[in-house]
Amino acid sequence: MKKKYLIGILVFLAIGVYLALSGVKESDYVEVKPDKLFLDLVENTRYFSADEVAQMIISQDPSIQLIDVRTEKFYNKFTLNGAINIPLKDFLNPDNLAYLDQDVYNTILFSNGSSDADVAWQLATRMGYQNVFVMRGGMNNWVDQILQPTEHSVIWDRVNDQLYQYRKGASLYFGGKADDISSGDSDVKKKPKKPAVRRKKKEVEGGCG
Amino acid sequence: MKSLKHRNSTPDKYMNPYLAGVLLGLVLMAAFFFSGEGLGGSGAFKDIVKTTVVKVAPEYAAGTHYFKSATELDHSPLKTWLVFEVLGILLGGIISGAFAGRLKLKLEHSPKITSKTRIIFAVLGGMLFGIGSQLGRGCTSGAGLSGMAVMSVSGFVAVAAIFGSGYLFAWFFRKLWI
Amino acid sequence: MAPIFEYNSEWNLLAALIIGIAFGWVLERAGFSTSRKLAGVFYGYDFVVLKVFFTAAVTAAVGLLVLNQMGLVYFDDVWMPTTFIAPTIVGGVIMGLGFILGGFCPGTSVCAAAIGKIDAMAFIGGIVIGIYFYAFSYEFLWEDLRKSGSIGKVKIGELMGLSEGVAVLTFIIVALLAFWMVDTIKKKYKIKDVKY
Repeated sequence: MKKKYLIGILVFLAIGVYLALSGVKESDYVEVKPDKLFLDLVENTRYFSADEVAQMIISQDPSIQLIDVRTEKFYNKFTLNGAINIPLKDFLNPDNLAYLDQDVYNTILFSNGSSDADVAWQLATRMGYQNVFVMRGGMNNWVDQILQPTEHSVIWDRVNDQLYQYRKGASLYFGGKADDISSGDSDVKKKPKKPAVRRKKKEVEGGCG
Repeated sequence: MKSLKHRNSTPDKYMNPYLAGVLLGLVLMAAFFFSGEGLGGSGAFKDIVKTTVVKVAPEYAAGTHYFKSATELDHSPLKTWLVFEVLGILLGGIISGAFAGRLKLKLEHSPKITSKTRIIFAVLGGMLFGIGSQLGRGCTSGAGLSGMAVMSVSGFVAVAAIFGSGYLFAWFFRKLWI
Repeated sequence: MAPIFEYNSEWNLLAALIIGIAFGWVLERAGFSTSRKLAGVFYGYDFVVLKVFFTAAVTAAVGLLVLNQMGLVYFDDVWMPTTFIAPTIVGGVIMGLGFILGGFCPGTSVCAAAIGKIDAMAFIGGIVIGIYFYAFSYEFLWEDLRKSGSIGKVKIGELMGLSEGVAVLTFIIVALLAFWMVDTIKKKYKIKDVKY
């Protein structure tokens, strides 16, 4: 056998042995499979209503974090108590993703309507983050149901006086008039929570086919 | 290498097959590294067929399962990686053939058959490849070679089927070649 | 890191062209632009197809795994076919017959047509006719078969219970054995390669 062939064969075998002793490297980026995503999308399990969110804020539910995906302008004008602002265009910024990369809080996304928050939800869920939700109807719904509830709104039946106070306070903050204000600390913004970061390994999706 | 003036006098010898194989493997690696794709051949012809049908009869095309996806594109179905790659194959063949002195209009056939027979069987062979490559999701390069490069079962199954079938039918058609 | 270029970006299409040129150049230099050499593997008078094909596959398989070790290529980010057992086998059998009758496969036929082989051009015509036929009869004849038999994206190592590296090493050894076998056959029967 010619020398060049022998060298070639040995090189291949040597590399082969090296590979046989090594594992395959996986990339850090993982993504949720489309069929799992589809189920979540169709079953609308991601929605919280404005009432439910209001209830959680009033009761100072420690397990949630609110993320406002609207632009800074809207955020600064009026937002929900304790909400962090991550404008949709900055959503994939690693510093911002840190807020999602944890399993301590349930994240509730909201925007003016539902569409931007839904887009953010899809991005987050595709990247494998769990416990991400959307406030259905967004701030538009919030204003309708919470700030200016109609007489037969479900608010009147379900929630107690505290919500009414909150609503009044919020209404005042927004620039409206309120009849009576008992406690004035409803417009104190809570400091955004520090993200509790933890890397999670999730299911791996295949490449392009 | 011969200069283009002396072409067709005596063509170059062919490259050592193992060397050619290693080079081909490197080209395949480049395809994966730069574009994330495997090499292919039949896919480009599929794109050509889709383009013509969608252009000539778009309503019909939109109503069929096969062509529907092609009607929903925002660009021509020809604007694909495979079409450009196959175009490259054409150019690469010309360049190599030119420098090796092998550019020549030729119709090769076994001494036992006529030119006409060769043409007929070439067309038939092509037709079978057209059908088979669509079913098999690729031809020897696309499904076989590229599939084996990523160690996919489909690649090995495809190669086994193609070569196995070839050996099976070879004896019956031996007059075409030897 | 891979893939460097984005799907359907202009740079990617340019890369496709350049890679294709390299592909065509190597094919032609190896002699894949003549049907006589290509068919030789089935009749035992020229094993160039086997040598080039398997060397290329082994080189690429080894190379990709090495790139993976270096963190340059992750298999999730590049093409990986789904395995459909039934249509691949049926398609393969049809293509095998096509190879025997036509003496080419699509890639090599383009390469051969490039240097002026008329039978290759006829072959290409045949491919297009075949695809038209397939497309127009798709819903009646082919659709169900083509969509059947999926076992997902499986690697051969997974199937045989081997790790990727061991599978590739096995691949190398099997290829080397095949080459040795083929050369022994040729020496024994004193067959000469078709030169040009």
